[in-house]
Amino acid sequence: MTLATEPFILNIGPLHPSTHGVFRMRVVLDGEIIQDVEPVFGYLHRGVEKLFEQRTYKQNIPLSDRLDYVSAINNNWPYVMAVEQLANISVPQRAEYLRVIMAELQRIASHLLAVGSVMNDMGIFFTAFMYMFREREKIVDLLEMVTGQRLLYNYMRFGGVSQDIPTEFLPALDRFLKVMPGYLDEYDTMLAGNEILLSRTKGIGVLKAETAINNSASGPLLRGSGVNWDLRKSAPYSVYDKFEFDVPLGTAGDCYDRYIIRMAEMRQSLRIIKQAVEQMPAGKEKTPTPLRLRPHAGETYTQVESPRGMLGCYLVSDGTEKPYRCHFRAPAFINLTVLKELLIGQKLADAIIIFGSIDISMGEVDR
Amino acid sequence: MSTAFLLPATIAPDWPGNFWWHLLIMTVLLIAVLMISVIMFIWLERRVIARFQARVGPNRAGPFGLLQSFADVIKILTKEDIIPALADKPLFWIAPAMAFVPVLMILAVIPLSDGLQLADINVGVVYISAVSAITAIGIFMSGMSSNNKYSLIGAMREIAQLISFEIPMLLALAGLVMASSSMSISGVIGAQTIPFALTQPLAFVVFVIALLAEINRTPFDLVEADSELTAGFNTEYSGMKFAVLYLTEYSEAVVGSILISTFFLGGWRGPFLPGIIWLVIKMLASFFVILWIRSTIPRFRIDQSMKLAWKTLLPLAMFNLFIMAVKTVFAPGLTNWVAVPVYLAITAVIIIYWARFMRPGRQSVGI
Amino acid sequence: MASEIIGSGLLKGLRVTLKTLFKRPVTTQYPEQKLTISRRERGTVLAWSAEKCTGCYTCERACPHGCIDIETPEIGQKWTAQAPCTHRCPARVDAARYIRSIAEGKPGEAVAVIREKIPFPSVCAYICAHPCESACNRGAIDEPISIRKLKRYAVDNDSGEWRNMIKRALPTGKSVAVIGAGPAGLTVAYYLARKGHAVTVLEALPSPGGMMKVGIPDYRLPVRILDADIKEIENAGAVIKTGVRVESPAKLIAEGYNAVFVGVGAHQAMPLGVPGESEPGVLGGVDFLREVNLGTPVKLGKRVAIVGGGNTAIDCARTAVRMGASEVSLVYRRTRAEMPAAPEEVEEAVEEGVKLVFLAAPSKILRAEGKLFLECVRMKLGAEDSSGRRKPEPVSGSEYLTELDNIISAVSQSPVIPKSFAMKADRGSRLIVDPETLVASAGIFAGGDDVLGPATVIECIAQGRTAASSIDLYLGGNGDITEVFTAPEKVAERTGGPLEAFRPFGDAIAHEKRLHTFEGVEIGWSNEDALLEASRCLRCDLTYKPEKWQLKGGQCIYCGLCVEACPFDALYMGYEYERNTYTAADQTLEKEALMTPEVRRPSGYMHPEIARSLPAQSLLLDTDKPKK
Repeated sequence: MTLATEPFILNIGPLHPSTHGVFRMRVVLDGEIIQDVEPVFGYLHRGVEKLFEQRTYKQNIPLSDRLDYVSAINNNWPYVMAVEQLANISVPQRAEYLRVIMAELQRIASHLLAVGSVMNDMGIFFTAFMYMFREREKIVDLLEMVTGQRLLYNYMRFGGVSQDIPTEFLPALDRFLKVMPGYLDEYDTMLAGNEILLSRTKGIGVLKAETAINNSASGPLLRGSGVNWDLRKSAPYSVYDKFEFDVPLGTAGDCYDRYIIRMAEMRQSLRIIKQAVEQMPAGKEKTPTPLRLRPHAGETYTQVESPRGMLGCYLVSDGTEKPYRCHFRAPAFINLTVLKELLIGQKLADAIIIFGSIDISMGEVDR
Repeated sequence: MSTAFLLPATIAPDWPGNFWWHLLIMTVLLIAVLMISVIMFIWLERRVIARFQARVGPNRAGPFGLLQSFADVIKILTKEDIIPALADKPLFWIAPAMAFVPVLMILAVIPLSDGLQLADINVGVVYISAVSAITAIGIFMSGMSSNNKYSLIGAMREIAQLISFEIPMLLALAGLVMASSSMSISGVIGAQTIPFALTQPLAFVVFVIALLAEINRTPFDLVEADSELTAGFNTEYSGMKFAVLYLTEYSEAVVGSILISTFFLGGWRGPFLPGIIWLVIKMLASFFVILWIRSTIPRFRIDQSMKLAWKTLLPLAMFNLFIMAVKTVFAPGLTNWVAVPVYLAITAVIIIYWARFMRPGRQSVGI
Repeated sequence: MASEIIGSGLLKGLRVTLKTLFKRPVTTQYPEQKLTISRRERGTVLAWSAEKCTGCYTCERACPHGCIDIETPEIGQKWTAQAPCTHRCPARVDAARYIRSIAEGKPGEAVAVIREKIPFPSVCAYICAHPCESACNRGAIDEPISIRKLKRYAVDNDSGEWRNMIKRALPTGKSVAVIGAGPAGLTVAYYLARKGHAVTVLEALPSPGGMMKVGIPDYRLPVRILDADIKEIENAGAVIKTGVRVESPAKLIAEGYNAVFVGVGAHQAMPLGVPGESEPGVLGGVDFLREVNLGTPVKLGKRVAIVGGGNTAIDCARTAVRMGASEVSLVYRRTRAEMPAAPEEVEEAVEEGVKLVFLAAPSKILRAEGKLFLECVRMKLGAEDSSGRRKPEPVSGSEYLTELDNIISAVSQSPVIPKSFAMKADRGSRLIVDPETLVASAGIFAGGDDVLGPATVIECIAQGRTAASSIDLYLGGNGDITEVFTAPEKVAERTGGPLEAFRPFGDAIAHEKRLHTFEGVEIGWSNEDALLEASRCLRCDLTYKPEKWQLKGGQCIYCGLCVEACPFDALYMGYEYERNTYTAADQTLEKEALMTPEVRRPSGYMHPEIARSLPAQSLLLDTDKPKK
């Protein structure tokens, strides 16, 4: 005898503790196993790209912060680079180094949040999250020291950065660089060998390299699958060609590899910051640019390696003081396209971890 | 209530003279003890977990934040009591009581000190197992009746977990019964000249793990897994009914600590100090371990939890039963300190050997 | 991991959490312990200075949210003596005021304001290097006010009302000789003539004007414009004698002149300093321009290369285009960003077909089989030098040859002072004079390009004014050469701040026509355009004291764009760091009660000079400072 059954449809989100924003997954379950997933975006759509067309070039810098609010400094970068290319603005060397230092600090902060929240999804009752926020707080303090803000820094400007670092910044940064590796070791001790964590992440959400490339995934998601593609190495922008660092690569492409890669990238970021502090020249922190800038008519595409992957900015100027079109290649959005392939056949509980390991930020996905 | 009143070394079974008086006073006392310890445990949990997480925890209401729980109770009681439109109202109403009352009932057979006990029934162990299972039915009812898919999944998990972990737990207790030749709780405590944690370490491990699953504590808090099921079975509850469910949860924790102390740590027995103090110390120690685990270990997935129950705990409990049976038959008097290292060694070998089958990353079992 | 015993990972984790249990919590311990609860008062301070604010509405326009509410009165009041443009002008022409006159529709008054400081309003209107525009505060907002073109509009629409205010001095009976009818010399002649001295200007070239005449091509400065200005100077009483070559200033004194001003200019092209420079077909930049301007026939081939990146080089290139050269290229050793030439001129040159070759420097000029070759070496930009420009360094082995008909070297110019003048000169053969009074020796004064090296017209005019003043003093006058052609200003109303717009597009004559004629390229603005442009002025010398300046409730995101945009530093953004300790008794977190002025530590990096003026403070706690 067979019983009549019907699919069990579960709406995870848009208001759900582990969707990391207002994202909705319409999941068809058979018991605990996911049969089908339909991702639903757009709950945080603010029309940022359209807003870009309504404001002058400089007024858009604070707006670009608000794309991926977890790594605001990295979001400024492709936009200011695009405008600098269009308007032919040169950036002083010191500004480039400042940008690198701040962006790498931001990358560590972002990865800490990403790893911490995955751990939280996994059920470590906020402990790893709190530990990582303990260190993130130190970074945020450093960034606040320079920019005066704690989340949306609005730091970069066309032709440099908004302000030079205060005298107290470098000693404080030094101290941070000294203690941070110890904290990373502590996380590794606590998490990397944890059997339950291993059983929850190893072999879960395996993303094959071909699938990742076909979906044009980027960032730790792509590198977790063993594809060596980091814009800082592959197509160095700014002064990244002057630093020695490695690109950590995964082998299996599962959630565990993504976790390990984020931890390793933090160490590499520390290396980069250390070298940048040593190499940083004296000089001006920005080339002055007018408030209402009019770049030459034309179009450009710039990209940087944000903590989530390749963040690109396609900017079209018609020679007026407002962009004609500004499009962002949001890595989180494109990385999400592999979600369906990763989730089908997995358990509900794994879905949360897989979703968390992609590390999205809804501000960037919906824009 | 002066301390001297509570602290006679031995209390007559019909204390304070008339059996009806005894029932009344003990019932009131037990409810009071449970309520106070629940409130203190909530405070303790928040403070201790906070310290595990490098935080301070609630410290505003009253000295050291002691009044925080009272403030929370007042807040919860004044909240609107919402019943979902399509909920099964009678079940929805009765479920919290159904979950809470059995927890209270367990306490009836627990001696708080020598003889300080509501009823010393001669099938105490069976009674505890039987009554504690009813709690699960209450939780299942709350999940079923809520008309919420998260609650439903939580309820299903609760039943799956109950069925799976009840068996190793009972088998572990069977070893105790065998060793103490009594099913009465007083008898079990009376047999613990050396705590059973040392003479039956295997049963201890199995029992603690199974108990964590029974009382829905990390790493087995799948029922209310906050990251995937929002709040699991109690998602739709609010106001007083939520308070009762919350109370149930912590009563379970309190009773769970009491059960660990009673069955394996010698209950109220101990040198120098009065029995009830020893019981409190042992309770706090057990609870501390529960908290410690909660703040460190990620949650199991449902299939992993099942696998643990059926493939690891059940065989281990059987082993224990076998060892105990052999001992009872061939060396009934062998319960001295010399044997303890032997037991510990056997346990260690068995656990390590058996754990090899639990390697993470293996093919998961579908349910 | 695989070889380890199962459970060891869990135990390690448990050890970490247990360790943390015994550490001090990192979060707030308030109110249990007496310690710093928060290192700072969270939040940014945005301050507005009523004294500095002039009500220019820039902050309101910079704000991405439109959250600044500002209201100003309609009538402004005088605030500072000089606006940045005026201050920057070597001759201190009150640009801010004449722009206001133009905005009020009074170009005649504008010319009068200009005339108060310089005798060459028309020349400056056409070819001034306008340092004022680079100082213009509007430049930080969008584009600087096009002050030169506004001046041209005023000059083109001059009503001549300034003539009514001319004051004529009685003849003093003193005579002055001015050597060289360049901008400096003619300025001296004009002002001394106004003071009543008899001035004779002696010019070696066939026509007066100096570099204005022979160094600037006609398409930039039409002859009639220059002649009109020189006519005014003659009207003032100066006598100009052309074709007269002076032997020495001392001899002129001996001839009876009471004072002599030497303003012979810098008319010699600097050599390139590469082998083969004397080959036929290699021309000096200024020599080439002089011959073209004086109408001497110059033979120019089809393929011409100009070496240099200054205004002279651009002039040579554009002149060569007009002479019929079909392939004109300009070789510069740095990049376009570093070119000293005016950007708009470079732009026009490119429009006219001049090819710009950057990062290349000539290394050799050779002639083989009757053909002229220029060998260039590629350069790369190295480290920044003291002037902030990146120093070019040759890339060895990157030499390449170009076949050419003519090479024009327009690197720089230097003065040529005849030996017979017997005047002291420095290594660049510039005359050495007293920088304050421009006295070279008793009765002999010098100024202009021959003192400054190749400079701009306006700098030479400024020198001429200084020289005229000191010559007048020397001749027994009061040295006061101030002229007043206008009535005291009455500031007209302005509401809502300066116009929010970019520069109007200037017209130029058609491209095809341009290539074959020396007619002026630029066409003056129409009334509407000029009014538009003049109303963009911020009026930095006035203040419209705002009646209200406030943030609309809660909308400010502290992005700091208004602070960066403010041209008058009237806004300040910083962060206050608190260094206070709290005890359990402080049960309140009321900021105002706790943040007494003694514990407030303002700090900010938007305007370092403001931060520097504040009391010394440290962002780090003593316990946070790295141990030595």
